[in-house]
This record gives sequence, C-alpha cells and structure tokens, in this order.
Amino acid sequence: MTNTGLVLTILFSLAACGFISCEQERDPCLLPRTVNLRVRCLRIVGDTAAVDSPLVNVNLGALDVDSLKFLYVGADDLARFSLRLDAGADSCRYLLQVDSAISPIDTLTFYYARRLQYLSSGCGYIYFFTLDSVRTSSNNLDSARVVNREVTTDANTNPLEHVQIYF
Amino acid sequence: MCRSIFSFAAILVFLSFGARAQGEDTSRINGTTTVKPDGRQLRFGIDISRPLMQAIFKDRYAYEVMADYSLPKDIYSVLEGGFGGSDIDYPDLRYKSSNFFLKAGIDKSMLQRLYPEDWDFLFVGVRYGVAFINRGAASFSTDDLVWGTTAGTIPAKSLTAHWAELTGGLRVELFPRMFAGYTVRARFLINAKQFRELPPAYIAGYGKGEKNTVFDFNFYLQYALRWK
Repeated sequence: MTNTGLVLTILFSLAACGFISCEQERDPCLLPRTVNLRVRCLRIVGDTAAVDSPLVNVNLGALDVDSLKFLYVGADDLARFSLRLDAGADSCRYLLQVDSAISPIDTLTFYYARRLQYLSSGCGYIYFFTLDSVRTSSNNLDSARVVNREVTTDANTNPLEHVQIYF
Repeated sequence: MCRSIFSFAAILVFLSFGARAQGEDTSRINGTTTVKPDGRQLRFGIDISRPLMQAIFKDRYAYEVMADYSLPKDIYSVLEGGFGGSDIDYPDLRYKSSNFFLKAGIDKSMLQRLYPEDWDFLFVGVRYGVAFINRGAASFSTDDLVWGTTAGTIPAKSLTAHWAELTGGLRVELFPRMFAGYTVRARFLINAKQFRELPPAYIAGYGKGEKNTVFDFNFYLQYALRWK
C-alpha cells in the first residue's frame, strides 16, 4: 500500500469516525418522567357493590403548599383523576369538593414512602412512591381504599388506579 | 451484559477466522516470497484526538498514551493507559468524576509486508480494559408543577469498570520512525450492572458510562525504537 493511499484512507476514515463519535452533549430524555397517583371515583350501591360515579362540578386542590393550588376547578364528568404526591414530604393533603355549588369540602390525606429513582443522564432523577394509607374526612366521602401501592411512571398497572374513593 | 459478551464472542470468532485465513495465506506465500521484518520495534504513541474532543465537548477531558511491541508473525502486544474525567453541570443534576485506566491486548497485522523496512500496518485486535473511577457527590433536583422543587445529594462512590474491546485501524510511517494512524474501537462493558445508578458521564478509556456498548476512535502520533 502506498503512503498516499494510506493517508487518504486515514482522512476518510477519520471523517467517518467523527460522525460515529460526535454525540449531543446531553442525551434527550426519552423516558416518562411524570409520576401520577390515579384515583377512581365509585358510588356504593347496596351492601357490597360499587359502581363508577362520574363527579360533576369538581374542585380539587393541593393543600400545604404556599397557596392553595387547584388542579381542577369546576370539572365535570370526572370518574377518574390524577394527583401528584409531594416528593418533599411523607404525606400530602388535597381538598375535594364534589358538586361545589351545594356539597361540603372533604380532605384526602395520602401517606407514603418516597424512593429516589435514577432514570438516565438525560432525564436525571425522579421520585417513586409506595402508598401506605389514605385517610379522608367524611363530609361527602364515605371512604377510600389503596388498591395499588406502587406509584411510578408505569401507566399500565392492574388495576389502573392506585386509590379508590367511595361516595 | 449477556448481550455484550455474546457480541464480543461473536466478533472474536470472526477475528479468529480472519487470523486463520491470514495464516493460510502466509504459509502459501512462504513457499515463494516471505518478507520478514528487519528487526524488532517498540513504538510509543500519544492520542492527539483527545485534546481536540475536549475542545468540542467541554464537559469531559481525557489523555491517552500507548505502546506496542512487535512479536513474531506480525502480532503486536499493546499496552494503553491514561486518565480523564467529566464535569456535569445540568440544571437538575451536577456531579464530577475522574478515572485512570489501563488496557492490554494484541493487534494482528492484516497487510502483507512489502519489504523488510515496511512497518505500515492495517490491523485488527482485541483489548481488555479496566478503569478505576471516583464519582463525586452529586446534587440533584426534581421539579413538580404542584409541589415545587425538591433537591438532594447522592454520596460519592468509587467504581471499577471492566470492558472488552475489538479494535481495527491503520498505522503509516510518514517519516522515518514517525507514525500516524487511527484505531477504531467497539467496547463492551462487562460489569454493566454496577453502572445503573448514576454512572459517570464519561469514563476515560471507555466512553459514556451509562452505555453498555460504545464506539470510539483514537488518532495517534507515534515514535518507534528499532533494533536488530
């Protein structure tokens, strides 16, 4: 092989290698980062049965933040909804007012353990949660039940919801 | 990890076929025109691509040197080493890491020697690499639309990376005893499990810490010592 040929080969190869090696400084985040707690609303029918109960004119807001932060205001046909748990504490509270024109306000309190989760250099860290319990006031609500303890980015859990609330 | 080992094994098989084919060619040539080297060669090199990459990628640095020694049958034993690190400063994640590394392996020339002083070579080879890494404490934050920002720190950690490499490349003697050339590399992390939790952004000698397979290249300037 002649030197000229080899040098040309080197230059072409280097250009190709440059394409292989040069990557973006920070990889894009291609993983889901949103960790939602999913709630299903049910109405007790008889002694043992419950059916889906879409709520109307719903106000839902987070308590214990700098100011009351509403997630839903006057929302209709709300059979399921999503909440965010506070990664800075082991519990958090939400107020829930169903049919806000006439009904009183209830409070939902979630107790949980936090777990730091590394996703990737592009996504950084997020928190996963393991639900311990949920307590409610009983102005309009009957009760609440944890049906799925692990609150992660998995959107295909069985059942879909983490908590069921009964009216 | 299994996939990495499988890939490495598959390419090793490929290389072994290549080496055997070369052997057959050599034995055929032995009967007619075998060209032997004019002596032994010990060659030292420095990778000049790393400082250039450092100018492009401000968050990492690396310095790499190598030496190879000619053995019979156009095989070269190779020793490589260096150090480097990275400094990640994203809005939600900040940490530093540094490491030094060593690699050992062999290169096999695939070019037929034209004359005894012909030390140009096109090669394939294999390496085993190990890096000793210090990842500093990391600070992170998570943002939530409802609850705001939560921040924390992850303790510092010492890690050891082991990997295998397949290499290929060229060396050209541009001036007497002065060589230039490149090595392209496919690297396969052996102990990937250890690097799932906040891996170093960049491991000098290997590449991105969170990838199990890395493709890379080096561009060397080398000087050769020769004796009979």
